[in-house]
Amino acid sequence: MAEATAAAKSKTVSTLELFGVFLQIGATSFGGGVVAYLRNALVKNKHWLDDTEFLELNSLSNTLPGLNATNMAILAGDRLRGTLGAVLAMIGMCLPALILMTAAGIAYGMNGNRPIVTAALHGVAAAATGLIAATWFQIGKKTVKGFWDAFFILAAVLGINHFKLSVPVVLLSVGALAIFAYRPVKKTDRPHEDSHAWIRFLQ
Amino acid sequence: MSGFADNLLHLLWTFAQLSVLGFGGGKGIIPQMHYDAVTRYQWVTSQQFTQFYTIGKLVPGPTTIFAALVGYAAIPGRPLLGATVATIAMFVPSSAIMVAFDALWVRFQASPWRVIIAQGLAPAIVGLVWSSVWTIARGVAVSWVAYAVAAVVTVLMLRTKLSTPVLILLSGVVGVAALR
Repeated sequence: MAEATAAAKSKTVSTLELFGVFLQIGATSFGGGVVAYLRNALVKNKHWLDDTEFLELNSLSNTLPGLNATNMAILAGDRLRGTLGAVLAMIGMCLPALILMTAAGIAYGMNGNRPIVTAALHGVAAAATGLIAATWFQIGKKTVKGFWDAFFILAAVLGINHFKLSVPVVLLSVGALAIFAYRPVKKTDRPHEDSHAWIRFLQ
Repeated sequence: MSGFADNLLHLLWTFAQLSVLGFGGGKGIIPQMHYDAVTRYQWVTSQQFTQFYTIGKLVPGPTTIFAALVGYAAIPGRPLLGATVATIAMFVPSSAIMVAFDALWVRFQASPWRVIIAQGLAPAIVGLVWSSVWTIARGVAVSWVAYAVAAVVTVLMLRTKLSTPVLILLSGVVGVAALR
């Protein structure tokens, strides 16, 4: 499913080298920001993609907020070596983490009940809350451009936390309503402008 | 023995569903994963869930790999099998969809619906991520030190260039010093 441009390039990228690069990113990309690692490896060091191609991948990740690094890697692998490239990228990205997680599981099983470990985990659990809150601020800031965006965000939060709906129900219902609200309208009257008119009407 | 096989199938099916749901990123599915792993099948406690999530943040690679730890805990007899099954179920379906989605995305490059669908899904996903914040916060110790750590980490993450593992390790030190 790779594109023609990537097909032309596929001669120069060996599968072994591709796997090695993604394995290296999977083993070293600490603490998110994997996009920067991917750009360094694929654009700067290996010249497998140029900046325009990389930005195209990045634009996909910007329109789907929270797109994870594995998906970015899979797209890059797909464009470089087709489906085999995508599979190798996925394994390369996940294998180091899987091994480390299993080691963590064994260590946790042996030491999880020690008071000092429990105390440290209480600290890091608090940090995790802070980290995901920060992520929420970052992607929220990119998304909220008007009244309706804020309205649909609130609807999704209430659906999960207050009405205890399941994630698929919320995603489909709120997503469908939002897509309906943003549907193409004639001329230039965007929903955002409607909302301002509505607010003015209330005032 | 059938209990073991059932449990393994539940694990496979649960994470495969989460994987499809988490298409486009893993952050929005945290509330659903919490429901499945903590409330429904009781593989882990709420506190363990948050701890596993944090360990997922600490290791390199994708955070959703913490599914491996949930799988590890879910199959007490064969933890390594549980970890492997959960990981495969978590990553294979979403990856397949991603490859297919990319082909469609390129094909419908000129369609206005491309932007509208993305624009419509975005607020729903942002809402789900906010629910994830609450889900993760449920596993945090009830103490003002923990709340302060969470608040400080949020600000440091937004305002400074400190890396995630550094913040996590420092918070672990604070935990040892203050939360014993």
